Amino acid sequence: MSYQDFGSFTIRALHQKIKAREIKFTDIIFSVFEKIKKEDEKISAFITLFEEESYQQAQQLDETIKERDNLHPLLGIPFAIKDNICVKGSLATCGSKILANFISPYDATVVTRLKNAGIIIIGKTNMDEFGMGSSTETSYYGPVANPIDNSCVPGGSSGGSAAVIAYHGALGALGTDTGGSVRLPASFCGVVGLKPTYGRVSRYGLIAFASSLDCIGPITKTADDAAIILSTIAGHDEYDATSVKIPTNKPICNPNAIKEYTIGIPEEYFAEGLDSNVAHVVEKTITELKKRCKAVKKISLPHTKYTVATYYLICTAEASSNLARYDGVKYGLRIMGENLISLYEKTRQDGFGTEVKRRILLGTYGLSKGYYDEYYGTAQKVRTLIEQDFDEAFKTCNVIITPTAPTPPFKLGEKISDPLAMYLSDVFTTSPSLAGLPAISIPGIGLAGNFPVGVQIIGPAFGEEYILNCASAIEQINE
Amino acid sequence: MSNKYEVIIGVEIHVQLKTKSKMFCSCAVEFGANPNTNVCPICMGLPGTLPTVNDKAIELAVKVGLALNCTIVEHSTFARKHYFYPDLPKGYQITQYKEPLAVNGFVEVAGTKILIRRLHVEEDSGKSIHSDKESLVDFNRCGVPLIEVVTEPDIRSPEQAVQYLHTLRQILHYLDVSDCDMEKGHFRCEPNISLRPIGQIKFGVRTELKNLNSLRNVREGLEYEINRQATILDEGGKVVQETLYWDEQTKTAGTMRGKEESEDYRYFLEPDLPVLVISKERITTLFKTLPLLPQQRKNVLVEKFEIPNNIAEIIIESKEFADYFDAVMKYCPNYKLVANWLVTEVRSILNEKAITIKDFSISPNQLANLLNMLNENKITGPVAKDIFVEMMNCRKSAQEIAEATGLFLIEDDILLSKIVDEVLNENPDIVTKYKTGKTAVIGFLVGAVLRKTQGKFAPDKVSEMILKHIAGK
Amino acid sequence: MITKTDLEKIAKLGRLGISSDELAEMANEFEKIIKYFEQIRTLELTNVPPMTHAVDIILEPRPDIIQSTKCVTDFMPYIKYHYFYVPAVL
Repeated sequence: MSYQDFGSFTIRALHQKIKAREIKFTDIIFSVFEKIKKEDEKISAFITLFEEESYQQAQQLDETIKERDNLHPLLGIPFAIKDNICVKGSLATCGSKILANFISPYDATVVTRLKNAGIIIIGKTNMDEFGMGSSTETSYYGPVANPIDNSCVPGGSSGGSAAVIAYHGALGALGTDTGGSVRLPASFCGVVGLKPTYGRVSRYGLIAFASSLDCIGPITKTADDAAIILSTIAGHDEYDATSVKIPTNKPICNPNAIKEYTIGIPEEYFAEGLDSNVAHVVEKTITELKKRCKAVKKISLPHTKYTVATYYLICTAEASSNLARYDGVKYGLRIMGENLISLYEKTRQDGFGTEVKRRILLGTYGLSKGYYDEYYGTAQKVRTLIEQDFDEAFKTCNVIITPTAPTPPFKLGEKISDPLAMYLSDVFTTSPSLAGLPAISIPGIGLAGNFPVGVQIIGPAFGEEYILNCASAIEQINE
Repeated sequence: MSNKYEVIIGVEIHVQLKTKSKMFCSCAVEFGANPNTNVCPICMGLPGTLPTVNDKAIELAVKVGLALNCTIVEHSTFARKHYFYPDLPKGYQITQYKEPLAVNGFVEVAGTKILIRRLHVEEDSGKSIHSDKESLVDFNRCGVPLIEVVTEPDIRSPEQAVQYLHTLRQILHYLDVSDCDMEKGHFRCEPNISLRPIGQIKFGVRTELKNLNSLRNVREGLEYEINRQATILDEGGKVVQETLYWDEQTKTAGTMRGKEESEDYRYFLEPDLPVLVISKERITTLFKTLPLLPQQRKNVLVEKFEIPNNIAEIIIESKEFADYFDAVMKYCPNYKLVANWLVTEVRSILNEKAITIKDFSISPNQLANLLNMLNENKITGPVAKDIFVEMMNCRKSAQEIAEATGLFLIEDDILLSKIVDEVLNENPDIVTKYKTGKTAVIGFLVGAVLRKTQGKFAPDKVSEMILKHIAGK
Repeated sequence: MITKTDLEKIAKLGRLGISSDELAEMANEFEKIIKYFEQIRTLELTNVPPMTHAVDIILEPRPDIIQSTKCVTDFMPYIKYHYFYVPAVL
């Protein structure tokens, strides 16, 4: 087998080689597994690997490629899937002990669509337990390290997926984003992470954390690759009553389109708490964009400071509900007790980690009799105000640009014992989540120390085209 | 208990809807299937699954709402009701809370309006089998569509409660939305009862009764609970708000769980299901498809066909019986005759054989033929009954049987005249008795003619002829 | 002021077994977090409707057709004679 670092290619570029019949699929698989063997010992991005199956699939493709034409751009592309997305016949652990033995009997809709396109799923990636975390440190399977600096976090909760793309262990990955869980790790690992509009991509088969916020999104090296994946997975699904009937995006980006765009910069995002190095990169990026777009203007999103509180009140309430099914009765972990209540309590005590337990308590409290109106009820109203802020802003601009994270990647262990500090890492990513809007994180122009800095581009509802174009424009500048 | 207290009863019922598939997934709804065979990732609450709503369930629920004179809510929402139990796989039930599908209806029960507060759709839970050591759970029933109908506390006695349930079941049956078999759990009743001293406005503390799986149990359970509460109040005690479980063996009700440690259901809007919109057009269309309901059908029978009220009540007992009546009436114009036969002869056969009209072997057409023969005086009443029995045994038509056994009445005045003459001549003393005013003896003469003719003449014709001859003599 | 007892009640409601030590530790953090959340209650929300869904669509019910699924319980461990078994529900 000849070795080439195929993991370093973009999906688009590799597809050209595949179309030209210049390479073998087995070589691609060999390449990524070599990388995985080399890197994953220290990164721990994977929970499950499908090495044998991947080779088998690749071999099959090598044998039949001559007969095929009209090749899908994702054919034979090695893919990593976050472990809270169901793949039939394999474990779906959500990074939790309570699902450590759960084998899913069905494929998530997005997985079916990707399998139909011909991807090769090489493994399931590590994540914060049930998606609850911003650093991928709460997994039952241990933390994930940042490939750029192994002593730092990769961001979370899709840290595994982002790290794999960063160290070239796969060319495409799926993550999930509830309050920033695709964008934040993309920013910390220097790759691209897209959260589509809520309802754009089916949630059937995504193990729920917060149902009104959860989104599945691609993590890739380029905006163009993200566009390809989005166009394959997006679209109405009869199994998901919250998925929308809307035409899919084009699987390509147009960086030149930004010359018609007005870019909004919300003043509330550039206030105290923002690391100066991060600010510097974002500002430089904006300056460069200004030369190429129609206009850049200051806007206000006045309810920004309430987003973290609103987000956590809503997501913990929904999480406490979605995690009620993990009771040891039907599947997953079961710790026997003298009676039924004891079975429930022991199973959930042993099966859930501290952060998950904390959020279940917070959520149960927020929904409980006497507190519903004060907490969950109020948060839902504030959510309307946050949405209205964006509606107003998008009247006068096409996209909004902010930093993705307030700081560069922090050290492993630095924030884990201060939950509130951890929650505040989500300050920039939670508002588009609350408003259901699409947002992408792309490495900006410049570095903060050794680290690339993610720039977040937010678009209006179903405006993925705008943010992808803008992201690819930034990529062009960076080249 | 006598007249010290006023009984306040409200009733909550759950009805399983007759759909092919479940409420939130496409598994089959089937009674008696092998355990855990009609299940899928969705109704089993597997991680990552999402609900989708069954359109037929909504349609049936709207129809019931309309039949109960409710206002159908155009925008209704789904909610999650949380509690932990092994047969509730998600740890919550998807139901409707703040905006149910229908509100503010009523049902007329023996002249009184029982107000319906609300009607909504929800999913059923699985079933558990309990033993001392363990419980076994079957999820086949999990996700079956239910409607819940809640009355205002308008019911004032166990009898009235039973009447309400009977009326409601009848309506549901007419709509064909459920088989309403209480023993199969299609129709579950949970009344709540409180007492208040006569004249008091404030309601007393109420208890809820569960596990009443027949109308008899409902009545007995309510009577028991009323007596229990009355005794407590008489002794100056306080009724505790709780849920009681009826035991039909011991005919008592025991505590299930107290309301003070009752579950906090933490209701919130179901994020996986958007708002359900039922358009005015759809409501109007569904309203037009409603069949005539029991009371409406009774009114038709009484007003249009002049059937006596009590007989009409029996005919409308079940929709099938009423339909059968309508079908017979198409071919036999004597409505009263048809009605009488249905409620006497037919009904007693159904009772005897413990079958329903669906399994009755004589078709409406065939019965109509028989009744027409009777109506046209081609056979006598007793003969008709005999033919009726024979029809069930041999599946021949009434016509065929009558012809084969020579049971037709004859229309032959000359022959009749001759035989009447014979009889009068054989019984001169009876004739004399008649002439002296003992008119009752005509029965003997009629009987004698009938015996001679083997019942082949209509009795009233015989009677007429005899009188004619006597007058002539 | 959220006490350890309050947390115990909430844990019970959520059937979450939590050790006494864990609870004591959590009570502190809990209090801090709830206090942080309180700031949203300072907003004027009188005529603001709640945002109940992130996307503005209406429900599209599905037709009443049966689709059976096989092998759902294949990988499930807690099954006896085709039933799921649990300790006695008293």
